[in-house]
Amino acid sequence: MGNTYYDIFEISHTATAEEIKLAYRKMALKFHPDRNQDKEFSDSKMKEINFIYSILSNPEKKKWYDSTISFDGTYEEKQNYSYSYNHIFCDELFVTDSKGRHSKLKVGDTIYYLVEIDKSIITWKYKGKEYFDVVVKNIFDPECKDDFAKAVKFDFNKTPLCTAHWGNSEMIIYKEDFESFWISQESYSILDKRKGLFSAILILCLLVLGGYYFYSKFKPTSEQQEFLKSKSELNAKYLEEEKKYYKDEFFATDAEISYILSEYYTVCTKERTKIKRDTDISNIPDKLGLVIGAVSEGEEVTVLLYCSTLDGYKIKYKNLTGWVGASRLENPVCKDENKENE
Amino acid sequence: MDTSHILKPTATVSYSIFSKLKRFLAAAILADWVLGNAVNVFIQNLNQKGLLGLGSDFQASYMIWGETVWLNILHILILAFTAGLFGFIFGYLSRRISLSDKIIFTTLYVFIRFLFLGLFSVVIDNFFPNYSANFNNLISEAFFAISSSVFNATFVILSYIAMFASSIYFMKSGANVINDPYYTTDKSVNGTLLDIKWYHYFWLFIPISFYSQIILNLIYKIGHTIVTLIQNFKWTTIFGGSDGDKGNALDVAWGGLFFIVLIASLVIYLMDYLRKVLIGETDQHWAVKTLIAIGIGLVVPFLILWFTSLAG
Repeated sequence: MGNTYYDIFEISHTATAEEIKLAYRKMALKFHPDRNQDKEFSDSKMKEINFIYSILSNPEKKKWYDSTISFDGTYEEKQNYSYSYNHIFCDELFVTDSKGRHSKLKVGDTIYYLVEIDKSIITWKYKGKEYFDVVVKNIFDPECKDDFAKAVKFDFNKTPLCTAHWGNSEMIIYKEDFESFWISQESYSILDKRKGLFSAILILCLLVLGGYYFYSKFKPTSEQQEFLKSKSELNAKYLEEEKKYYKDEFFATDAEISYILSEYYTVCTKERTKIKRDTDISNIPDKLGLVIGAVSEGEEVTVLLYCSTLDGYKIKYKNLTGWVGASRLENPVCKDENKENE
Repeated sequence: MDTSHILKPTATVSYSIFSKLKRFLAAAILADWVLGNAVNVFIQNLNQKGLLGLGSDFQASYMIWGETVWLNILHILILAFTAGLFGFIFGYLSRRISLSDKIIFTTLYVFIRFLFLGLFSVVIDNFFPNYSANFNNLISEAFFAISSSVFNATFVILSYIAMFASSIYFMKSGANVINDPYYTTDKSVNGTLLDIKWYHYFWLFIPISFYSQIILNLIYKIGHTIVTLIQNFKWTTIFGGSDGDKGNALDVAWGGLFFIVLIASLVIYLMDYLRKVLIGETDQHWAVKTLIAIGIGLVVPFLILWFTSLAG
């Protein structure tokens, strides 16, 4: 709709009570049934004008109404009324709650709304009870709308009972089929699941097709497979020997071996050095590691591995092997054993 | 407001496919590239410290994390966490999720890499035929590595199942949060996440991913301190004996924990303050607000990164 009550009355929102009254009279004269040939239209318009006047002439109601719209020229709707209320000017309106109880709403009754940001659903709160219904024009995803209409046997093309304003939104209210709007979560879930199942089957087909595409495109040929297999077997054999060597000779753990293989740790030529001061031995070269023992000042240790990034040495002292910072050792030396062997 | 006795609303949000895709992209970027990537960087840092034993050439984006079961289980948990985060954010942004949306967008999220890979291979085949053979061989090798090992194949399949389940499960949670009548955040202004306008996230991803590292460090340090405490606790002192010489490691662990708790508290406070500044809760001149935003969002992370090891 895009019109505020002030727009309909063709006045400014700062209009005084006198000006509002004047505008009301002007509108009443304009749309009076005696002056219009289309009686149905003028009746409806008069109801609307009377209703608007009942709001704007009441200071309290006017104050609330003003708080629901902005007057910066854009009429952008304020959406922060999670628990605001509105007025409705339908002749009479029946709503049905989940237990099948009917309530009749009268013209000018105050109805409380809980409006969600997308305005797709409105909770009606009337006389302390809550009613859910769907009354906004753009409620449905077109696909859902059809499903929904089919499920409840409702014709959306029929003439609505009346319209109502909420901020600058327009609501369409259907009277006769109000009960038809009720659909249980269970029924809705069935509709949703039917669609979900269809999507799942579609997705599954796409995945199978995609998988087949990848399989046919990237499947290694038998020669490639043979080559990759022998390559990995050879690698595995070589790796096993290498790992065994590091384990036996340098007391390396599986984790340390992976760093040795990726050249993050250097394998040292087992030079000997002394501990500068009492120090903790850790399980990794970083201070985030856990302490696994301690060595006293002046003790002689063997340097096994070196991590240049963290500047830590793996040492051996009696039966204890672990990492210490470079600053704890006296002139530590690590000659790369692999390079020395070359 | 108790609405349990009332029949539920029947409408679904009438978002267009374009709007849904926008939300999908926003959720995927935030969950995967910002927060998920923060976790990956943290894991790589732990590995560089020698903790995980995955070799220096390890990348957290690898499908298989080494040959040990527990690391691959950890990988699945991280993938499930990131997918859950995506699901939650997508549900939160979409407000209402139908079952078909859940399935479609989860599939898109989980298999998006394959989609790109397929597109990439088509582009290479058609426009760069010289590189096509090399590219195909590379992918073939990766496929072979996964399919030839029962261990690898099992964990790859498990990770996809976990991602699927987690994403679908948390989509509903995200929608429930935003639809909770008592939850007022993001309901007053359109296009917000935690009340911050969407376009701010184009630069906020820097402090978010950085500060996430500090929070992850905090979690790790707590675990580390507990283990150190148990391992080095001076049990003898309980019975009045000598307390030995195991004080140092414990002191270091306590010191580290204290420091990170201090910094993490500061970080949480700063991020909260930055949010208040961005949503206009503070009454300041725009220039001051800009300075605060730059300070908290860019300068502080840079200083911490440069002068401390807290983010790594």
